[in-house]
Amino acid sequence: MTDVAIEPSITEDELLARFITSSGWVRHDQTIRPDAFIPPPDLDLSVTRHTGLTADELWRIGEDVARTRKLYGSADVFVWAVQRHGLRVEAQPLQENLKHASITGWPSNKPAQKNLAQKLAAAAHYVPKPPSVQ
Amino acid sequence: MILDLITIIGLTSCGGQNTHGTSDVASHVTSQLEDSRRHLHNSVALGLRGKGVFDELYTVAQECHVSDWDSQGAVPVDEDTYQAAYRFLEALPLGVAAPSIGAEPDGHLTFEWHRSPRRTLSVSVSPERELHYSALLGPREAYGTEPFFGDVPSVILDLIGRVVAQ
Repeated sequence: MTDVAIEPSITEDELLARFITSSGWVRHDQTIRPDAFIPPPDLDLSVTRHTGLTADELWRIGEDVARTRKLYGSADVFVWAVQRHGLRVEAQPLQENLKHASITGWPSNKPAQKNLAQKLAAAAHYVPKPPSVQ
Repeated sequence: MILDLITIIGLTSCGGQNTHGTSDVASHVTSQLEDSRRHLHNSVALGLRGKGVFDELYTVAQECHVSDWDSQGAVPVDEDTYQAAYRFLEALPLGVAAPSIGAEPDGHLTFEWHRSPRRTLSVSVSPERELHYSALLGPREAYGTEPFFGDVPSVILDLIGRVVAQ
């Protein structure tokens, strides 16, 4: 049995991190723009589950995700805040990130995606990357 | 001074709407209007160029013109999208509140007018020159798609007005 298999199932009170790798995704007042929550063309929006991770471990994963790009912080949103809009959160552990999950169930038309992204952004809390994290 | 004000009022009241005449005179008037609008767009008080919005658009487009610019699989912002977004900015009425600029993982550029989480408008510009918009206005919401032929659709102008109104 691998580590991937023993990841606990997702609960609605879990917190999810959407890593912020574009400065344009954060407003001047430190709130999140909906752009950060628009799904890519495959309609699987990548997030990382906080559960079972220390803050250091979470930021290390964020740095791995960002690779050569700058990691600005994370937009944290609860699973229930995603599910209440009819979207789903599916655990999709990866070799390099066992806490990887995807927000799925997006409508195919862009305006409806934007509407949902605005609601997720409104429910999200921006956490800047601490200066101590390299 | 008075002439300047009349000119400004006249151009502002035109919104961003183009005239559509086809005669030489109509073409000349259209050309003169566009030149005047461009000039006024440089104004700090009235113009989006004077407020640095065109520079912000260029900066965002440059940052996002490569594949995977967000390290999470984003589609690049291409030249067609940048050109369409530039034209959209140019077509906004003089004196309009300045939007902030962003990019989405599907490669669209975005303009946002935002006062609060429930009073906010986001407009995406696609490479196909479609404008996808979504607004949250208190308990109400509005979203849809409009083609962009050079004029800012009235539904979007109306939503901008509702978001930025005092």
